[in-house]
Amino acid sequence: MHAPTEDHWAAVKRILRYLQDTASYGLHITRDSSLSLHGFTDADWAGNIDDRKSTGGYLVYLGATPISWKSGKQRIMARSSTKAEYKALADGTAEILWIRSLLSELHFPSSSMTTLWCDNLGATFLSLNPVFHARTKHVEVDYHFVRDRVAKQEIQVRFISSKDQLADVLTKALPPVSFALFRSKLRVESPPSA
Amino acid sequence: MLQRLIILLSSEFKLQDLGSIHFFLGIEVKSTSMGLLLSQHKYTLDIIQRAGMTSCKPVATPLSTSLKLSIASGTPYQT
Repeated sequence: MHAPTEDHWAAVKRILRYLQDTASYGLHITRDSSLSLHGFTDADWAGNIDDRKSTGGYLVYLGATPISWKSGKQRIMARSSTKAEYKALADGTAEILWIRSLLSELHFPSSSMTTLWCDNLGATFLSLNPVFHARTKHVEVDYHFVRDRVAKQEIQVRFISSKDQLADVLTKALPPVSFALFRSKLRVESPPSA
Repeated sequence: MLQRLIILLSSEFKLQDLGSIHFFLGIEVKSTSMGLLLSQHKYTLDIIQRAGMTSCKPVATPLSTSLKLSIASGTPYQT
C-alpha cells in the first residue's frame, strides 16, 4: 500500500493489541479416532469498499481438528452474493480434493463423500441443479468444477445456517462474543494453566 | 510399540531419538492432557516487542466491526 491513512495504522496496532492478549494461544490438536473430512466455505460479498471485491474463506476439519484454512480477497468480481459464495465453494473443493488425495496416498482413503457446508442456499442448489446455469455463465468454470466433483460423489454441498457457519469468522470482523465462540470452535485455545 | 518402531527404523537408517517434541518448523508444541497445543508464542512476543507495544492495552478482537478501511478517505499517515 503506497498511501496508508491513520485508520490503517490504527488497524495494524489493533492487531498487535489483540496478539498481546492472546500470544500464548494455540491450535489444540486432541486425540480423535475420527478421520472424517468436512469443510466450511463462506464469503462476504463486496466487502471491500474501494473496489467492491468479496472476501472468501474455507476451513477444513479432519475429525475435530481444523487442518487447513484460508481467508482472502477474491480476485474475481462477484456480481451477486451467490457468485462470491460459489467461488469460495470452488476454492474449498479444490483444497478438499487435494487433502483427499493426500490421505489416500497415506493409506487413509476417505470412504465417504466429504461434506462442504455453505450458508448460501443459491450456491448449495447450484452445486446440484443446472437450472440457474444461464444466469451464471461467468462462474461457469467454478460451476462445472464443483458439479463434476459432486456428480463423482467425492463431495457433497449442504446448507448450514449462518450462525453455525464456522468459516464466517474468516470473512469479516465479528463482535467479541461471537469471535470468541468461533475461535474456540476453530480449536484455538489458551494453554492449560500449569 | 513406539519403541519397537524406533528400533526397527534405526536398523534401516541412522537416527537419533530427540525425545518429545517442543519446537518444529517455527511452531512451538506443548503437550496437554488431551493432546498437543501448537502455538507461535515466542514469535508473537518478538513482534510485539519489536513494535514497542509490550505495555499496550489488550483488545478482544483483532478487527473492529465498525471500521471501514478505504484508500480514498481519511488522514494520510505521517511517519
